[in-house]
Parts: sequence; structure tokens; C-alpha cells
Amino acid sequence: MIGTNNTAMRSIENKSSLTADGEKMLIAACQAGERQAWQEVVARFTRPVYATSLRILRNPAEAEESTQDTFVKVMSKIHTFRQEASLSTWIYRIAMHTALNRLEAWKRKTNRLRPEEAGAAAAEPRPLPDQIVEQGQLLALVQQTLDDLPEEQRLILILGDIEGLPYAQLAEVLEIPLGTAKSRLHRARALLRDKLRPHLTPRCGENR
Amino acid sequence: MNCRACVELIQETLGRELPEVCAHHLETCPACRFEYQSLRQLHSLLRQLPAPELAPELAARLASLSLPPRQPSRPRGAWAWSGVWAALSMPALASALLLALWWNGEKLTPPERTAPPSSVSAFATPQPGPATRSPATRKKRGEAALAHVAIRPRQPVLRVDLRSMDDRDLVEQIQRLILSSGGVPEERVPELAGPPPLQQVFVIPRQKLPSIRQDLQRLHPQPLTDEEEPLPEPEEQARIILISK
Repeated sequence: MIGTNNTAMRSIENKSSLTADGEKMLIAACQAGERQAWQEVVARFTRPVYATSLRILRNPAEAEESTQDTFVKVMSKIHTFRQEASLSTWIYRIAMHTALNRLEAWKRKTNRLRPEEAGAAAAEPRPLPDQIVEQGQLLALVQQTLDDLPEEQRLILILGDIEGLPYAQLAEVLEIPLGTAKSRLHRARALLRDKLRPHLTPRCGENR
Repeated sequence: MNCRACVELIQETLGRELPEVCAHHLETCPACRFEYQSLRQLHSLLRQLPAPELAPELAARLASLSLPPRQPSRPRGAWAWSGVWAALSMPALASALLLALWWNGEKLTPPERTAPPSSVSAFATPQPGPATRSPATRKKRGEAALAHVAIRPRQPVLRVDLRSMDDRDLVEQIQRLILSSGGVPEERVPELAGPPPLQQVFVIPRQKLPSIRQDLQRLHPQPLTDEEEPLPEPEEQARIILISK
């Protein structure tokens, strides 16, 4: 489940990002039933779809199922895709809803609550060690604190800061106004920062 | 620049270079400086979170899905209804009645099929759903046939029991067939808490059910039996339920 260099992987994907014309051609080819075009869509979007699904569901097997369901939906609906949003936005939106639906269904079925819904005590930050944590431990701590955030904040941080969607795309994926997307992300960052405050080490006198 | 505007700008440009006007403000404002440095560190940590590793076979499995052939667009809404009424002229109505009689009498109950009489009668005189879904009935039908077909006049459901099939390739072939024919997996409860058997439900365009049914019959040569399942489905949809171990 753990990889080595997330940032490097994202930069590779960014380099190969599609132009608007390229995307139109890819969609048209998929709509015409061209197998190679579909394979290109799968190659481009499997990682982000799986990563988003896993971060939402926090269970690799569930994330895999959700990824598969997402692509089957994409495949079956690509004929009706009217390109009102970009292909990436559309696929992210399907992936997010598919994963959230699975999460909801799991919660209904198991009657198990997420930690933040279990009561006020669970909403408090967990006790943390006093000593300065190493980078790996700090990342684990960030992940744990992120996982404990309320769903709305967690989701927008996953999409906005971890997956790196720009504000406009974030608003489109979540189907909320641009201003709401911005303020929601800013509040979520501030909340996470406040929870991690004792472990962040901003260097004095550094402005950039 | 005041602190509020500066913090807003810090958030907006996080991950990019800080605007000059904001940088000047930070030199004289410790609170905003902390805001900037802590948010920047947080953003950097979030970007460094380990990327999930993909199961190698997942991408290959997804790439092997077949795109359905392009379908002609159909009229919707009021236009669709006007088309229906236009089609219901007297000759068309007579043809439709004849077709319905043929469908009921010939196509859905072919003489070569060895389905139990009760399942055959389900087409002609629909029975209430719960009565046909009792555990005893299910068990009996499970022993009698591998595949169950449940079709209502308005809400068809094709139920395929794969539990006695050991050939995994054939099971996957059946799944691929449904997917490539436009079947869409329905949102379902994850198996974390559910006991076996597993049920994989696909929603398909209703008009494709007869052809998929024929193909399934070819892959799955055992006789099909029929039952009903009351579902609040749109009329143009049907379902296929694969039951596996």
C-alpha cells in the first residue's frame, strides 16, 4: 500500500497531461469503441482513481472494487459524456461518488461509526508523544490526523492538497461554487494544522 | 496589506511562490509569518504522503474491459412519448399484439427448454414476489438448475447462479459478456459484513436482455428457470444477478 515517491509520480503524470484537443480525440476514439483509446484512459487514470478511492475507503480491497466499479461506469457512460467538464474532472467525480457510496453502504451494513462520529471524546486530538518525531513518524501522524478529520474536510484535503486538483476543478468535482471550494479547503487546512501544531516546526525568520 | 488579506493570499498560493506584497507583510508580522510557515509545511507533508501502490493486475483487468459499441441516440421525454403514441396506430397496435402473443407463447417458453412448469407459468401469470422467493423454493430451484431467470413483464431480472461452476475462466467470460453488453454494476453493500453467497448485480438496458440471455444460455448450457422479483426499476432497465460462492 505504501509507495516511495508520491510527488515524483504526480509530476510524471503532469508531464503527460492531455491538451484539450488531445482529450477530445481520446474521448471520440473511446466513443467509437477503439480499444487502444480505452487502454489509454485506463493507463492515465487508474492511479488517481485508485489513490482517491483508497484514501476515502482506507481499505485496499474495497478501493480496488471501487476503482473497478468506477471504470465500468466510465466505460458504460462514455457515450453520453458531453464534455461539459474535463475528462479528468468527470472521472474524479465518478470515483469520488462510487467510493463514498461504498463507504456509506459499509457504515449502514456494519453499524460502525467513523471515529469523528463516535462522540466528543473521539473528536479530540489523540495523545501524541512529546519528543520530536522523525519525518516518517511525522507523515504517519499527518495521515492519522487526516483520517480522523470530519468527512467533508478529509475529502477536500484529499482532492485539493494530496491529489493536487486546482480550485476550479475541485469545485467542479465536488459540484460546489468556486468560493465555497476555496473556503472549505482553507478551513480544512487550518483545522489539520491546528491539530498538528505541536509537531510542525516552522523556521523563524523564513519568509519564502 | 492587512493580515486577513495576507492569510487569504497565503492559502490561495500555497505550493507556489508567495506574492511580493505578501512577503513584505511577513517581514513585519510574526502571526502571519507563522501562518505561512506552518501551512507551507503542512502542504508539503500532505504532498509527501506515500502514494498507494496499485495491484499490478488491476490495470490489466481494467484495460481488458471492452467498450460497448456506440448506440444510436434515442428520443427522450415528450418526444419519446409522442413517438410512442404515433407508433400506436391501428396496424402497429395489431402487430404489437401479435408480437406479444408470439413472445409469450413461443419465444419465452420454447418447447426444448426443460424448465419446471412453475417457472414457465411465471411469464403468463405473474406471481407475488415473496412467494416465489421462499428459502424452500430457492433451494429446490438451486438443485434443479444452475441458472435462474426472473422476468417480470415490466421489470425483468435475470438471476444466474454460478455457485456450482468451478471453471473460473467461464465465470469471468460471463462477467465480461455482461459488461461488454452495457451492463453496469449496481452499487452494493461490500462483502466485509455479508455472508456468502456473493451477489453481483448488473443493471442493463432492457432491450439487451433477450440477446444477453441467449448468449448466457450458450455459455451456460443448463436449462434456465424463471422467477419474479418485484423491483422499483425504470421500465427501460433490467437486472442480471450473478450469484457466486
